[in-house]
Amino acid sequence: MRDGFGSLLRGNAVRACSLAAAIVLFTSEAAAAATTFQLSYASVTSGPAAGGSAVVLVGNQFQPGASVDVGGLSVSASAIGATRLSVSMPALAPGSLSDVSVTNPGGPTSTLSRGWFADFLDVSGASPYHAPIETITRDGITSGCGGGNYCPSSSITRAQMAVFLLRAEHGGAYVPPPASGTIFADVASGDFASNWIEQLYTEGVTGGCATGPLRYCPANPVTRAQMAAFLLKIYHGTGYAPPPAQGVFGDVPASLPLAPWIEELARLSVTSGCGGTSYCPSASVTRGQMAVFMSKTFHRAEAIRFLEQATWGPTDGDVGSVLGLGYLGWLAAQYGTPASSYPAQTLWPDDAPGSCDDPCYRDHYTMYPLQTRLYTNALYGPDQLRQRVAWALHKLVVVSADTIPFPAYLAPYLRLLDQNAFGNYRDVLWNVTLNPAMGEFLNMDTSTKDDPNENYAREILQLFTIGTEKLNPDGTTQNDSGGKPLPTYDQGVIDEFKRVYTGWYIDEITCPAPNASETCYDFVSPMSFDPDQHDTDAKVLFAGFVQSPTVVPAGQTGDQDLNQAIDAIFEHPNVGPYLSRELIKSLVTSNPSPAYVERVSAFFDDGGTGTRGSLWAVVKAILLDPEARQEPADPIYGKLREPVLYLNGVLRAFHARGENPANPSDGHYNWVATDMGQSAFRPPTVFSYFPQFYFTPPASNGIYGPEFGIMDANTALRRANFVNQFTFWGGIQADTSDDSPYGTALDLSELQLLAGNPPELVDRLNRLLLHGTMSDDLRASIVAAVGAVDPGDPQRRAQQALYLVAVSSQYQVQR
Amino acid sequence: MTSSRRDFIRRTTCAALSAAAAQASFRKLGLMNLLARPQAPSDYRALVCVFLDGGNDSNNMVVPTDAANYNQYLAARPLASGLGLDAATLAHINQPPVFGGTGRTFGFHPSLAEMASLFNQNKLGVVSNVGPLVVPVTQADVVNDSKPLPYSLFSHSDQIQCWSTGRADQRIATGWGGRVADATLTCNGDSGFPTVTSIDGAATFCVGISQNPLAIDTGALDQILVLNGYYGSPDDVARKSSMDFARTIDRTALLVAAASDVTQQAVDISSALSVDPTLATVFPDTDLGSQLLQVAKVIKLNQVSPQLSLNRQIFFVTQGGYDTHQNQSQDQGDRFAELSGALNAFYAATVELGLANRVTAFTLSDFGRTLEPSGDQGSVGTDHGWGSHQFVVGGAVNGGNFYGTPNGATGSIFPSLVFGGPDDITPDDRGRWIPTSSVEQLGATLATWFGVSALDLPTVFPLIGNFATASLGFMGPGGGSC
Repeated sequence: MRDGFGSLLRGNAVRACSLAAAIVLFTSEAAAAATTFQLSYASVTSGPAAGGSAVVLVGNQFQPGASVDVGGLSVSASAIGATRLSVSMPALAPGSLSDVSVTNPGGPTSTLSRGWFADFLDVSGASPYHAPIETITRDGITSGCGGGNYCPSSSITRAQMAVFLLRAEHGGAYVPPPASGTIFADVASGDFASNWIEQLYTEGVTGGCATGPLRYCPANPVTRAQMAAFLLKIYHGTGYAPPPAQGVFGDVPASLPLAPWIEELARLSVTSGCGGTSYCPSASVTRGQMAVFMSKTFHRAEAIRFLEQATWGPTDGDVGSVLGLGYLGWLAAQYGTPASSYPAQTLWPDDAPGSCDDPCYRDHYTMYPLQTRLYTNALYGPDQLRQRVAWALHKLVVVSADTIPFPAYLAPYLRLLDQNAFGNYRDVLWNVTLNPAMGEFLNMDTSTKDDPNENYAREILQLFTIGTEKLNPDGTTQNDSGGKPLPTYDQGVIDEFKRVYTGWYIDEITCPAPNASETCYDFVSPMSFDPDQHDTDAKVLFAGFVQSPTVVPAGQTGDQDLNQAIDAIFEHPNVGPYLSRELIKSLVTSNPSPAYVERVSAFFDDGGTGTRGSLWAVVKAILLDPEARQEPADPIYGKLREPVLYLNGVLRAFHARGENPANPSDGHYNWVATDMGQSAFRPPTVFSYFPQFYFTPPASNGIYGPEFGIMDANTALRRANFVNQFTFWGGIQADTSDDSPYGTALDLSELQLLAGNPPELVDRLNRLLLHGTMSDDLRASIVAAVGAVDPGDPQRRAQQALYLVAVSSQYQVQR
Repeated sequence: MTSSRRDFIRRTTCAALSAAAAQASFRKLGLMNLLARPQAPSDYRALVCVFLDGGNDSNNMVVPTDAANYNQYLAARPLASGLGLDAATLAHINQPPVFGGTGRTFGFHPSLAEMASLFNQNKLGVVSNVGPLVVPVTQADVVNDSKPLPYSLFSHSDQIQCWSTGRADQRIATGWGGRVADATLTCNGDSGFPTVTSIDGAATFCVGISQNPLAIDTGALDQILVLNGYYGSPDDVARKSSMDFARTIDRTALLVAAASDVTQQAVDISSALSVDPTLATVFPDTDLGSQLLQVAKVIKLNQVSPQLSLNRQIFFVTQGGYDTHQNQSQDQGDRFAELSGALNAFYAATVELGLANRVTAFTLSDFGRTLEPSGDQGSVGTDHGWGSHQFVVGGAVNGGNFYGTPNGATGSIFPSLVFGGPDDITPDDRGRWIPTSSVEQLGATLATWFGVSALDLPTVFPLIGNFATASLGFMGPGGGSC
C-alpha cells in the first residue's frame, strides 16, 4: 500500500460488492529447480521424403547456436526462444524413420528416437491412410512394399497378414520360430512367411482356410470378415469369444459364423462398414485399409487417454477418429468444427411479466436453457475440444449465474468464450471486459469517474491474467533476495487501473417481442460508454512493477484507455506462464512440471508466427507435449475429475440417451452435478468452483489438487450415489412435469453382451474408462464381484461392473 | 447485487488437509477398536464459530444509549436516513461493568432481544472493535502508512482469509480453528472422528495440518452421509467388498490415494453417525437454526457414542446475507432475528446437555461497515469497513461485559462514532474503525480456554507476541493440558 488509505478510499472504492470466497491461498512453495536441457517433441512427426517440411522442435534450455541432426544429416536451425528450434527437414529415404537430435554448443545432446518419419512416395500427407500408415510403420509392422512405396491400394494376402498381425502382437522386432512345413499342405518351410503362418496357427489365431488336407491359402486376399476375427483374436487374446451377433449390418446375417467378430469390431468403431448399413464381408482388404484397421485396434489406449484430456470423455467413435486422423489431423478437424455453443436468448425484463407461466419462467429466468444445452452439447456436440477449452476459460474468467441469473444475460458471455476458445487471449480479455454480464458481475458498469470501482481492476489482474506474484517463464515464483515472492502489483496499481475502466454502462433498451412495451437491460451488446462518467485524467499503469509502465495520457476516449490497459496487461510476462499453467491444470494435470509449463507458455508468447496470445497454439502445445502424451510415471500426476467432467465422462462412454432409447438425453441433469458440489455456470464466486491452489489431502504431501476443494465427506458419497443412480436405477426418468421431457439414461446393452464372461466385461471397462491401466488387484476384485451376480441376470452383471469401475478413485482421477 | 457466499462456503471443502497420521487414525475407526474405549469424554470443551458472512454492520448491533453517545450515533445515522435505530426500540442491556462510572450505556439491535437477555444473564460478552492486525496501530500509523497493515483491506475474500487464518501479514494455508485442533489433538486420544466439524461445507478456518476436517450437512444425523444402493443382498455384499478394497490399493498414485482417503472418511464417519440424537430444546426452523441444531446433535452424540468420545471439538457454521450495501434495515434485521433465535436455542441446548460451561460459541465476520450510510433512502446500506464487534456466548464466558483494548487517544475500548474521529480511517472519514484488538487476541483468548498451552500459543497464533496481551479476558479459566 504505497500511499496509505487516501487514494484507496477516495470515492467509495470499496463500495464494490467484490465477491468473496474462503479461497485458500498458500505461501509460495520453494522455487522449483530450474528446467534442464531436453528435446521433448517435434511439432510435426512426418512429411515428404523429398524434404522441406517446416518443423518446430520443442524442448527446454536450447542455447543460441544449438545444432540439429536428423538421420545423421546436419540441419540448419533457427531458435525461437529457449524452448523451440525451427528447422526444415532434409531429404530422407521414403518410409524411413530417423532420429532427431539437438546439441547445445559444446554441450549435451538430446535425441528423439525415430522422431521423424519420411512419407512413403505413394502416401502423401493428404491421404486418409497417412496417419495409420505412419503409425504401423512406427510400430515396425511394415516397411512398405518396396521402392519407397507402401502400395495402399494393393490387396493384402493372408501370408502378409500373418506377418502384420504377429508384429502387432509381439512388436516390430519379433522373429517367429522356423516353420516345420508340416502343418498346412500349402505352406512349405521356406515359403514366404511360412514361419509367421505356422506361428499364427500355433497361437490359435488361425485354423486355416480349408481342411482335408488342412490349408492356409497364403496367396488369397484377406477378406474383411476374416480380418475382423484375426484382429480381435490378437487384441483380446485367442481365448476371446465375442458376444452373439445381433444383425447390425444388412449384409452380415447374425447366422454368419464371423458375424460376432464383425459386430464387435463395429462396436469398437474400428470399422463403420463399407457404406450404408453394409460391411462387405467378402471384399478383400487393401493394405491401406489394413493400416487403418490395425491402428484403430492396437492404439486405442493412447487415443482414449488423449480424449480424456481433449474432450468431455472418450467414446469409441472418437477413438476411431483420433486414430484415423492422427493427433494433428484430429486437432485440425476440431479447429474447423463449428461451435455447438448456445443459441441467442431473447432479452426479457428483469421482473417477469405476470403472464409468464412456469415454462416461460424456466426458459427466461433460470439457467435451465443454458445448463441443459451445456450437457447436450457435451454429450452430442462434435466440437469437443472447443467445449472443453471454453469450459476451462469459464472456470478462469468467471461470471456466475449466482448474480447474473437470467439466461439471456449469461449467453453472450458463454458464446464469446466458445467463439474465442481457439482465438487470441487478448480478444477474450477485450470482449469479456465489455461484456455486460461481466460488467454487472464485477461492477464495472457501476464505475464512474466520481465513484470508481476497483473490483474489475483487481480481478482481471489477480485471476484472469497475471496472478499476484511475478512468475518465471516456467511458472515458478520470482522471489526477492530475502526469499519473499515479488508482487505483480499493489493497491496503487489498482487505483490507476480502476480509473481506466470508468464510464461504461449497460444500456437500457426497449425489450424485444413479446415484451416490446417494457424496458430491458441490453446484455447482448457490449457495454455502452458515457464520456461524462469517464475519468480522463492521465494514468500510469504498473508503475514500479514493470520496467516500462504504460502511460495513459489525459483526455483519451474510453476505447483508447481500455486498449492501452488491456495491452499493458496482455503484454505482462506473467500471462503466458499463468494462463498455460491454469489450462494445463484444467485439461491434463494439477501439478505440471515447470519444464512443461515453460514449453507451453513459450507458445503463448509466440504462437509460431510472432503472434502473442494464440490459445490454439497453447492448447495444441498442452496436448501434444510428452508430459500429456506419455504414460505418467510421476505419482503426483493427474487431476481429480470435477463433478461436471465426471458426470459427462460416464454418460458419454455409455452413449447416454433418453429414457426411451429413441430419444436423446434432454440434458436436464445439472442437479446431479450440483449434488456433487458443482452447479454448472454457478460458481459460488469469482474465485470459481474450487480454489485455484488447494492441496490434496494430506496437505503434508504438498500436492495441488484444486478439484479436491469440492470433494468432502458429503460429496464423496454423492459421487458414488450418482453412479448408483445411473447404473442401477436407470438414470433420470422422463417426466414432462419436471422439465425432463426425455430423461437421461445409459445404454448398457453392449456391456450386457459380455456378461457371460466377467473378465471380458471388466476388460472392456478397463479399456474404455481407464485406458487399460487397471491394476491386476483391482481387476481381480471387480471380476469376483461381477461373478457373484447371477449369470442369468446379464443386466445386473453389467451394472455391477460399471458401478465398481466408475466409483473407483482410479477412475475419478484422470491420469 | 447480492452475493451468495453461503453456497461457496458450503462447497469449499474443509476436507483437504490431513496427515498420514490422520489417515491411519481413520483406519482405526472400526467398531471393534472403538468398543474398546467406551468411556464418555471427560473435561469436554467445544468451540463453535458462527461466521456472519458478508461483513456484519456491528454499528447497528451494539448501539450507545447514553444521551451524548447516542446523539453522536444519530448525527452519523439520522433516523431519516433509514439506517439509524430509534433508542426506544433497542434491546436493553445492563451497563457493562467496564464502563462503570462513565455513564456510558448500550443497547442491542431490536432483533437481538434473546442476545440481550443472555448478556444480562452474564452468558454473553461483547468483544469491541476487533479486526485483523499485524501489529497494534494508531490512527497516525494508518494515515502515515508507517506500520505494516493487513493485506487487501476491504476485500471480502482477503478479509475472510485474515479472520479465518488469524494472519493478517500473509496468506497462509491453515485456519486458526484447524491449528487449535492440531494443538489439542492429544486430548482426543485415538478417536478416529476429527476434531473439526463444519456444518456448512468448509472454510479455511477449519484447515489444520494433522487432521482432515469433516464437513457434514444438516438433517437427521443418520441420514446425511448415506451410500445409496446397498441392501444386503449377496450381490451388494460382494460389490461393497470390492468397492472398499479398491480404496486400499493403487496408492502409489497420490491423487488416487487422496480421493480414496476422502471417500474412506465419508464411509467411516457415516458408520459413526448411525443414530440421530434428539434434543428437547426447540431450534428455530431457519438455516442457521438447522446448522446449530446439527452442532448440538453432534455434541450430544459425542457424549453417548463410543465412536466419537472426543474431549475437544470445534464446529463451524455460517450465516450469509450480511453484505448490506443496500436495504440494510430490513435485511440486517432479518439476519439478526435469525441469529438471535438460533444462538439462544443453541445455548439452551448446551444447558439441556449439561454442557453450558463447556461450549463456547462466537461470531466472526469479514469486516465491519462504514458508519456513514450509503445509497439513497429507499435502499440505504453501508460499505466495507475494518474493525467490528463480536459476540461470545456460553456458560464459561465472563458475560455481561464488553472487552477490548482501549484506544490510547480516547481511553475507550468502544470506538467514537464520529466521522474523522480518533477511531476512523482519515481522511476518508466514513467511519471505518481502526481495530484496537486483533483477531489473534480474540482467538488466543478462546484457544487458551480450550486448552492450548501458553507454550503452544505462539505456534497457533504466530503474531500474538506483537500484542500487549494474549487474553482479552472474556473467558474463564483455561482447560487443563491433555
